[in-house]
Amino acid sequence: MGYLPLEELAKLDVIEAGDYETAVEEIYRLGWTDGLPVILPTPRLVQKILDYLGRDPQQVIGIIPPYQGGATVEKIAVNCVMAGCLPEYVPVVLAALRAMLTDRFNLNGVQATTHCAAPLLIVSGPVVGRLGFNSRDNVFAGGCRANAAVGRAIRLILWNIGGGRAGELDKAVLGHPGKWSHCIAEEKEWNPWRPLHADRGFDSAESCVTVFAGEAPHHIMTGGGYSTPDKILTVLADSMATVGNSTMQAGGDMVLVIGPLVARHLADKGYSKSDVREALIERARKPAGLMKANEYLGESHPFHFSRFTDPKDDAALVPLIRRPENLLIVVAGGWGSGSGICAFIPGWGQHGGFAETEKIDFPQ
Amino acid sequence: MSIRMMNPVAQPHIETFRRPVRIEELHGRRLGFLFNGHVSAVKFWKQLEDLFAEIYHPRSVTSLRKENTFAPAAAESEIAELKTRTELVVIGVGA
Repeated sequence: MGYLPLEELAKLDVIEAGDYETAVEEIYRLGWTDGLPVILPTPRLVQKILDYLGRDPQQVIGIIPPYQGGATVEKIAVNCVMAGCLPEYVPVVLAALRAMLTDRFNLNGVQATTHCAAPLLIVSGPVVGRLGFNSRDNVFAGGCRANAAVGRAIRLILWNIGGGRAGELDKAVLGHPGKWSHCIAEEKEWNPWRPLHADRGFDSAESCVTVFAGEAPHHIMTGGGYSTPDKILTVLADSMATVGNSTMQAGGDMVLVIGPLVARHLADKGYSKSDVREALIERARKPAGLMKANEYLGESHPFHFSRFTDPKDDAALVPLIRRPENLLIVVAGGWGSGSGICAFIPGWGQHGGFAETEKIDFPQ
Repeated sequence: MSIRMMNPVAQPHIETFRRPVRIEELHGRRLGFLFNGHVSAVKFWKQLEDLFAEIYHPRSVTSLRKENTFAPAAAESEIAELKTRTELVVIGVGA
């Protein structure tokens, strides 16, 4: 795609352009963006973020693979400006980065894999209302600055500091639109269950971000407004356990986004989140004989599905959800009609991209 | 009036390491293999291991396959084992 080498770009300091139009074109020439336009990272805007954070601009928050770029507070701030972040959004970005830099997340692999996985940020807790994140209609799509800018900041950091540039170190065959920006918030008011971060050991009153690397959301029409829990769970399970997704083949984490209407309906019928999880563990399965049609992983691989069934028995059912904690249940989206819309997001398998949750620390 | 913009691209963090001493003679050595286990290279890797044994008659062979194809080998287990049991390691990354 003809990018300038990162080694050369990294040596640049402040770029000067004669006028606005020249500045925009210079950003494209330098390959600072993945194609979408960005806010010009002027020193004044960057300084606003640095003033808000009150941290040493040269402090290294982490090393971003695969390029191993040093993510200083200042470089993060520059990318956050380009993404359209208000200073108050940046602590969310910093917490997401901490989560992505854990060994379990395997960011090096997530950035470089041929799989389409992209980090999805799920913001939950009081910060959702305070900073205006969208947890309702079009939660995966546009219309909300906080969602768009925070997701975009992560992508630009992975692009400019991590070197995850398409066709270079990012080898994704297809990718997916979430690689532009991929951030949602969990609904609080319409959520009948405790928040996601409480499932993951945090206090419900805290603000957290959970990061998970996954595919694009797979839309599921459950008919949940007119249906029974038994039928809803059957539809969800069948839509989740498909032979071609990495999670079915190789285990690992996955996210089920349950629309508020469906969540309310299930809760009214006495289902807790654990009940839903248990039911899906039992129902989201595929026969081993059908699974064998997919040879992407190879039977000798330690993550191969045959570890969970008798490989000689084609009728044996292979579970999608290898461990209960592999399934993250999030309540988000608009109320909608009775069609009871949900979404399933398979992960990258047990190779990496495991969900990690971090508390969001705001400056005192 | 010109517009000034700050650079979003970071300098890479470069690990420094001591270059290992090159082994001149491969025959009779304590040989190690570390394979990432990718399905595209399973058959090739087996043949490569056999070929090494046939040609160089190693004193011992330690053959490891990474648990996770797409993550670095574990320093405390896989790398540590190879460090103590081998003199040279052939590393294979199928993709």
